[in-house]
Amino acid sequence: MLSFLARRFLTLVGTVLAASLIVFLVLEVVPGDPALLQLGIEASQEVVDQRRAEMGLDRPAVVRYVDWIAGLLTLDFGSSFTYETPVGQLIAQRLTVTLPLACMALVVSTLIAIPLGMFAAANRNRAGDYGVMTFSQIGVAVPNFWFGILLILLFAVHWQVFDTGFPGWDEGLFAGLKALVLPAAALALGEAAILARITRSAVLETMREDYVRTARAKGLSRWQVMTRHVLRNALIPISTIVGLQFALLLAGSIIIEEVFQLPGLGKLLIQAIGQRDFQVIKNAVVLFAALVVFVNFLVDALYAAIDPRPKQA
Amino acid sequence: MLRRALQHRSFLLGVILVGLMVAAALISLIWTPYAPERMRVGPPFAGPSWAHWLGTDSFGRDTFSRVIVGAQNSIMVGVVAVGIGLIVGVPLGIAAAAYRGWWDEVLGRMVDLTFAFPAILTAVMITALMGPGAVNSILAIGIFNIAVFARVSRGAALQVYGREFPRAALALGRGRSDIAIRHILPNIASALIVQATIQFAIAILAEAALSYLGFGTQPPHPSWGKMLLDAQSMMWIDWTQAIYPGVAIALAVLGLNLLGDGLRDLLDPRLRVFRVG
Amino acid sequence: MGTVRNALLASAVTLALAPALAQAKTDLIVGMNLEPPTLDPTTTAAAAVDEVTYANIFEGLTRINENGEILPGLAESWDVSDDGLTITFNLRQGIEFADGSPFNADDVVFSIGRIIGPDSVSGKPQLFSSIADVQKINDNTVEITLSESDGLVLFNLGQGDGVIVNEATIDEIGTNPIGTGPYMVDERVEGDHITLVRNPNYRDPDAVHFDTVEFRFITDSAAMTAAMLAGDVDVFPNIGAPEALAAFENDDRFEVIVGTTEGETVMAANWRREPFNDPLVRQAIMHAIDRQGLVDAAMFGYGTPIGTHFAPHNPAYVDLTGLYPYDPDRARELLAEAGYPDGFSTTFVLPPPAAYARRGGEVIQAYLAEVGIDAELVPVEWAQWLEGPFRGYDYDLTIVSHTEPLDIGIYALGPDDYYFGYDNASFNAVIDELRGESDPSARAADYEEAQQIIAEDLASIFLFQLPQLGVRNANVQGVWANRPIQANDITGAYWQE
Repeated sequence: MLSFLARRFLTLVGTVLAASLIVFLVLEVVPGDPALLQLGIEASQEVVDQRRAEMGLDRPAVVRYVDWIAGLLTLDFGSSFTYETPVGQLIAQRLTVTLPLACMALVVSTLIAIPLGMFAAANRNRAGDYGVMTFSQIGVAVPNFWFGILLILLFAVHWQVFDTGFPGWDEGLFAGLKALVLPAAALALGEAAILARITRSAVLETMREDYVRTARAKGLSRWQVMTRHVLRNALIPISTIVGLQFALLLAGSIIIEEVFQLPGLGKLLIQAIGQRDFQVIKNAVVLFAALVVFVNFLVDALYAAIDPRPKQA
Repeated sequence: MLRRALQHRSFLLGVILVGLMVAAALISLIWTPYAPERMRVGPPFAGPSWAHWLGTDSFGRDTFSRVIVGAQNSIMVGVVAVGIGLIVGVPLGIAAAAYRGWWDEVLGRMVDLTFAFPAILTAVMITALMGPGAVNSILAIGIFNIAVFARVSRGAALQVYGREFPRAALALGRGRSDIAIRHILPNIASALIVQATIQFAIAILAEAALSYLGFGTQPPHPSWGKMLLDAQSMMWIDWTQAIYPGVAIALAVLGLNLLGDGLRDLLDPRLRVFRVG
Repeated sequence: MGTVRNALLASAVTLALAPALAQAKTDLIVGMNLEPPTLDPTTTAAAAVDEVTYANIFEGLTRINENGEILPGLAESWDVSDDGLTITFNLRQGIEFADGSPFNADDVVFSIGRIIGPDSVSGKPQLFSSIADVQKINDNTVEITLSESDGLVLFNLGQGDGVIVNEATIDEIGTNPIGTGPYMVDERVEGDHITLVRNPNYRDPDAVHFDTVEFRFITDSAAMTAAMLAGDVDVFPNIGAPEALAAFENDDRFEVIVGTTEGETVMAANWRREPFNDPLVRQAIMHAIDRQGLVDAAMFGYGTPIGTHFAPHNPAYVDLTGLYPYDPDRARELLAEAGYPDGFSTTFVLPPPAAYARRGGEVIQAYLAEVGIDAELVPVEWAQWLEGPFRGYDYDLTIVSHTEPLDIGIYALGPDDYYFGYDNASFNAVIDELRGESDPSARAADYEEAQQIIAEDLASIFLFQLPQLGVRNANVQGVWANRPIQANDITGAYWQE
């Protein structure tokens, strides 16, 4: 198992490296000169060239790539073209919005989906089951950004009980969490829909196992069987899905932050693309990719720990 | 088969919803109440009326006309993006299953790499690189589909290659591509059809998201995502415009998902559908 | 209304009410569309930098007020020599920078020195191109020599690009600017807000109305409206999105601000390319566009149609909108005459501003379609716009608002130096004449002639003057309505309780 994990980890590093190379190459050919953008419409060519040199853009691409990767290893992400502040600091700041948002969405979707899925499994092919499955189908079909807009329409425009935007954590924990409620709900809907369905089928599968029937035969109540035996075993496939969903929620935050105007990593990235802030773009994209790959790795590791059978990569 | 299909209620609902979308797109090719791109066909922000079934937008364009023409856009995006995935991804996946070895390994790495980037991120980067627009956003979604279909067809094809008859065919001196087309493809067709339906739905969602971010279809061509973007900025004046395009997207995606699930039940209930977004 | 009077008024009001109201509000939250990338107003052309720093953090020798008048700033007075080539500034005394270091002639020599000459670091070096030299006479006197007479130099020195900076802290000016204004930076959260606090060394602490001033950056128009309605933002001096005003127009708690800007919004039609080098085609395009209709649809009725490149609120403005009025039939005739009876296809590059460029672009596209011109919209980010149309002259049609004051001279830059590609010797002669002219009425006559020439030639397709649109809490007073320069000068603002 260790060698399997070691191999998977090497793959992880390779994938992230390849991702960094792709991002770098893409930014090499993308049109738009960040120096010119910063200096504006009246600057002379000499000033622009000088600024390009200050930004280090006049050096050969290979040197810049190696420099960047070397910097990454020492956690030095360079300095933002736009803000002239360290990119590491910028990203860290934005993560204080994006990570709580993704975590909150994960908690919300799990808390909704697991009881719903269990309920549906327990009432298989009855009205309750159909209700849950209908919710699941609708939840998958409704685009999260539109659901976000609907939430804004209801809670911010109509009732005016929530605001869009983010007040910052120094306004207090409550104010910060409150600002994340609607975005987290918008983000959670689709994932809850999928998770409910997966929970239902995982529970159904477990209920077919022999030991569950035995437990039932021993006279344990339906509820006891459900919580003590079925859920515990169904949790294994469910938790791997929850892990994978965390990566999806991070990706979903890109668009949801745009809908709710939250200063998170996704908004930083979209803004940096507009401003041609290559420093921010390349680091943020690689961070996203690294998070996705790393979460997948954790899920694999978890699986390997639970299920000792040898696996192929 | 037909009887089973007719008894499958959610499948039927899917057929109806997808049929509605296709019908809307086809009708709008030859007729719309108003030219969808024409401004001031009514007062701006007019509510629903007999003249304008879904009211008008901030430019006084007829929203109903724009919503049904938007179906053309979504269908085109779905067909082309899924088509790209099928045409490029399936041969790659079957080849990987047929040859295994380093070719399989390389393809597997490429697919992993594609999935390392969240799809929306890839699409945003590609449209930022090549410029926003319908064609580029379709390509961006198509690239992602290549990876999906390569993985799905590889998995399905591996199972088929594991059986007796392809080996027998090879022993009889049949060419590899001949075997792939005659034996493998028909046997993985159900998996591909089901997956294509799901990817169609995902493509519609992705295009709407890209257009919402401003990277997708450009004015004056109506697209549901761009209509939502415009409506959101006007929602303090008229919130109703933020409803219709969203309902259209949700119904289209719901219909395709129901159709896909239904097809799986009918064709091969053991099929596993691959979902990444 | 000068800032001084506002300041006096404000302190009178607060004094009078102080016993009655235990706690007057001591903070102000100002909303802005765009975020300043850096906080150094002298080296960048980005308007948002000036909008945060001008007058609030940094001051210039002269100071521009809400109506574009030139007032004393760090120079309390100045003398201009008879030939107009030497200006002697008498500096205010006893002034300190926010870090406590004294302000004197050396700071002026340093600050002006870095934005003039071939090594200028200025983001807009042409504003100061007439300045040949700056010399210290004594600690409180500075002399500026011009290479040619320049009627605008005192105005330009009063813009954000000409402010006086502190040499000792110049390396960190982008993140921690030290100026002589009433406020200094306390906290900056990129992408979200910048908080200013009182400058403890400011010369007149009683005239500072707020303990903290927060600039909050909100791009999305629906979010702007929500933030104002919720009271999260007190004033939005320049709201790029006219649709956001609808919610406030009939609400007593808010006051909608409608003023003027120096922004002539024009559609450039590339003179270097067919068919836009044909005057008939240019006239056809102008006849095809209903400028008032465009203002109504794209700007919700805010904005003034223009027929030339000049601000309508300027006394020298000539209304030339009647020259090529909206007449689609005439447009079709002209196109046929020019050899395009069925119209033609072209591309229309749109920079980011949502209201005038993106919405305006959609409306213009619809007008052009009516006469057979099929314009494909190409939305781009600023970086691409600068590199493509603006620097590379690579475009057919594009739209932009030229917000620099009195910038009609850009049509004399010729096809090699400016993106229009326009070249007219008689126009260049008028601009040359204007440059050496100091008599106001002669200047006005030159301006009028210049306007006439570019209007007849349709050097650009002239659309409308960009309005200054904003909204404020009805109790916030002393906010600028007009925008003669890029600034959010809140030194005169105060809470009326």
